[in-house]
Amino acid sequence: MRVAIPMDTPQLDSYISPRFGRCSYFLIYDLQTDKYQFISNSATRMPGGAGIAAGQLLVSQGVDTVVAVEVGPKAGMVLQNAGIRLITVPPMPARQIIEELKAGRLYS
Amino acid sequence: MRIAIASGKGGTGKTTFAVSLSIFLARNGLSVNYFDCDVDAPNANVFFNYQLEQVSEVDGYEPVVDESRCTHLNCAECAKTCRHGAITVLRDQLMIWSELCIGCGTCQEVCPQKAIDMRRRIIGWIESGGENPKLFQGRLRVGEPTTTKLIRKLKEYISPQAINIIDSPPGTGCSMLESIRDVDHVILVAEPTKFSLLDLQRALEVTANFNLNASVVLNKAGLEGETDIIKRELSELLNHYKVKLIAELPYDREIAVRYTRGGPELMKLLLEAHSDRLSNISYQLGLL
Repeated sequence: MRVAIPMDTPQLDSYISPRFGRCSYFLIYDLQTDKYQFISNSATRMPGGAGIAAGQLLVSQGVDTVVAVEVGPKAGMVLQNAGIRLITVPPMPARQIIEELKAGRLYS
Repeated sequence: MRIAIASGKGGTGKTTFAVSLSIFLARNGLSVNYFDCDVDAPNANVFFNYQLEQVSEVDGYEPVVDESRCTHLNCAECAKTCRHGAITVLRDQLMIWSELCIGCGTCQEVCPQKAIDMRRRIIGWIESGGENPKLFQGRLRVGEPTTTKLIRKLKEYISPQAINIIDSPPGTGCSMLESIRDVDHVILVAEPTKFSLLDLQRALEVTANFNLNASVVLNKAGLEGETDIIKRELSELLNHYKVKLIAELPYDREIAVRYTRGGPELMKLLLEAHSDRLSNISYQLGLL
């Protein structure tokens, strides 16, 4: 499973960003290999349609799951049409989200 | 002759001043066209009260895609090139976001598969009414992302034989730039408030950058709260940008009260109260 999590600081122990389209980074985490990277979110420079652009970025990154606090309706359509699973969570650190995912305690 | 009326800050009295100036000029025998370039919310006709007729439809464009020719994520050149993010490319489909698309056609240019065609989409309408001043206004279709093309089309009705008063939208963004960039003179309407001076400076920066002749009209002069500091800041701005203050229109409670009701009544009052100043402005600009 290749997961994307919106973040405002590029650290696993930081909390997930409450914003999807205009978060500063995305954590891209491979649950099988535990390899991860933070990519900067190019969508923040968009005057409008940031959520859509962030969705496009994640499609291009080949993620299959997005964990977010909240996703707007248009970005939601992008993820849905792309067949990307969306899981919404209350605010918590990224590391905890990964653990919960591995334990199978998070559902869409 | 093209004269733009702009301000930066909204509510300083651009439209009120522009309408009174244009009626004044028309009464003095000049042929006057009035262009309401605030295409998001045209409202000069609240003063003119003309019966308006649609004179043209303005077309924009948006892409349509032949999905059978599109190679989607193997290419995605359109999505990579579109600065407005109006195309999203997925593994087996393409999503087009009309509300983000400005109709530039770049996606069509870059598509190696020739899978994109542009279809017409109405972005707004141009309406007109009255004799002298003759009013032209643009009305942007709700949801349309950009104003500039409609403003450009509206300004095609400018007549070289007439005095053309171009009422710019507030702000110093694209709509304002498009409205004022090619005029002969810009009158910036300010009021004696901190907010107005801040925006006046931005507007003066624009006119300086475009090398436009500009002058300032101080509306609501003597407004309660006007201080020596504000007056000093205004004169510093005028000195710095080497721009003349061509009139001070005194604040008048009666005018403010009538303004709330709109309609030609206010104009009658304004033309009586300000006729000397309007005539002075007209001479300074070489209109009379």
